[in-house]
Amino acid sequence: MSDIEELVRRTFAAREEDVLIPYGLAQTARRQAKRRRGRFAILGSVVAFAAAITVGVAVNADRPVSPDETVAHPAPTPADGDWQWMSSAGAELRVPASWVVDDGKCSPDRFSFGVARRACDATVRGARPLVEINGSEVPKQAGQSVTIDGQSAHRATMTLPGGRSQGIIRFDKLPITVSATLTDTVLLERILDSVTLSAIDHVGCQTRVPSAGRPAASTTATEQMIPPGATEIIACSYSLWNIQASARLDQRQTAGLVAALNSAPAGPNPDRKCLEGPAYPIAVIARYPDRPPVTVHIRFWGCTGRGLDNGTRVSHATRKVLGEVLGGLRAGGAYGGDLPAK
Amino acid sequence: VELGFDEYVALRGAVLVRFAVMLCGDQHRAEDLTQAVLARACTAWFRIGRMAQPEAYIKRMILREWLTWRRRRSSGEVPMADLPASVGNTIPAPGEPLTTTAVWGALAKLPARQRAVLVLRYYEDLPDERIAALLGCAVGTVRSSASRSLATLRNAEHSAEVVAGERSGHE
Repeated sequence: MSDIEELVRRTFAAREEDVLIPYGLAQTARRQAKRRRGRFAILGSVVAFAAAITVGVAVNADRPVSPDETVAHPAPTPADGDWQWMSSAGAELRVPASWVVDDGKCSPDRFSFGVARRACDATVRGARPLVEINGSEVPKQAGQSVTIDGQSAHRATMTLPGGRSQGIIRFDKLPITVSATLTDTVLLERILDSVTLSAIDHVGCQTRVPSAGRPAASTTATEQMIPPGATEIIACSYSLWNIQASARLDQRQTAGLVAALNSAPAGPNPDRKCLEGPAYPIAVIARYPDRPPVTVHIRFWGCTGRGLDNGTRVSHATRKVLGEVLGGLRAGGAYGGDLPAK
Repeated sequence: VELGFDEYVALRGAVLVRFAVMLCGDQHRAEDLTQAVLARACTAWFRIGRMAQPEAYIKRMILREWLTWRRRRSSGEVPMADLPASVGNTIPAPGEPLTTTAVWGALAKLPARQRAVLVLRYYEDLPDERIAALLGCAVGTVRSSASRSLATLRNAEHSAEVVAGERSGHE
């Protein structure tokens, strides 16, 4: 890449940091659309939301998975010492252990916010080696037909104008795209070779949306939401269809999350009047040496049925719980606006 | 449909605004541009939200909207006798190397499509074939456009010397 090309790239990267993100983009867009199109805009939104709910119910109905499945399978074999796992949407791959995964240092200005998983070599200045699962848009190269864990996909490698290479794996029938952009083509191929699909990811989360089961009957059970003595806590965050982010929490994160879960007010969050959308649940699983695991389902998005539920006890979903769990997941999230602080 | 419109914008709105800023070179115009496009996307979200890559579609909408804006507004621009101070400040002194600030200033003077090519190539990292498809032109046109744009930027230092010379002549 010539000096001027590098300078142009750096110019865009530098300007990214100065861009201000206006507040309430969606609301303003809606108002603008409403002004332009009057009643048709409202009708369009209602139809879109209704379709979203219909599709969501249909998709979830096709995939009834017992919550117990989450812990019924052993986690995959750990990666070699020089490598680490990275997973999202049911796809897993390995990147060098020295890289950071889902860290703000990877394209901090193109934040993932639960839509993608991203890993990069943060030690490189400028255009960093980057791997994404369902990240930024990738070109639709035809590529070579491959089969990965029984699923057909297309794999392609191309050279970008700046001299870096981009390798892509796009699954034909699954909403999964893997992209790796780096200069080391050998490493790029090794990363792409490591892509697999799995029902249980490397952390131990099931990759399909779990069913929350029947809501707990009691809202006043005396046992804590997460009983003491857990040896491991993992968090699994889902989109409508599959897992988006997962993490095994460290000691500090575990302490913060358990405290937040156990101190949440008893009972579900009050329902509110709004247009119901699809749920994006989070499951927190605590494992014990001498008792079955406890799974807490966190539902914070939507209008009804919000709260924490471990099967025997129901508590409020709080902003404190969300903050702790999303921090552990290194993911972003949004909530309805009326969740209590603690 | 994976995400509702509000949630999608909450998650990816920043990316769209940044893309618009790269195209326009101006924060306020970029916000207007993004809002205009999102207002249209909002009413068609039932269709757009189901796409595999809604972001690509919306970015294409932003690109086309901006190119249209530029055509519409080009007749309304008024030539100025003197360079505004903010533009003048971005030009390096003769002999100084180009800075990102100077390149940003020079990018603002490029024709819309040339700037779009650079944004798609060096900001979005798209291959020339994809850029050609987005702009509705041949791959060769993309390459020649990029080449011309880079040459223009490369000559910015030389231009700075000319501007400086002209200014000293006026004085």
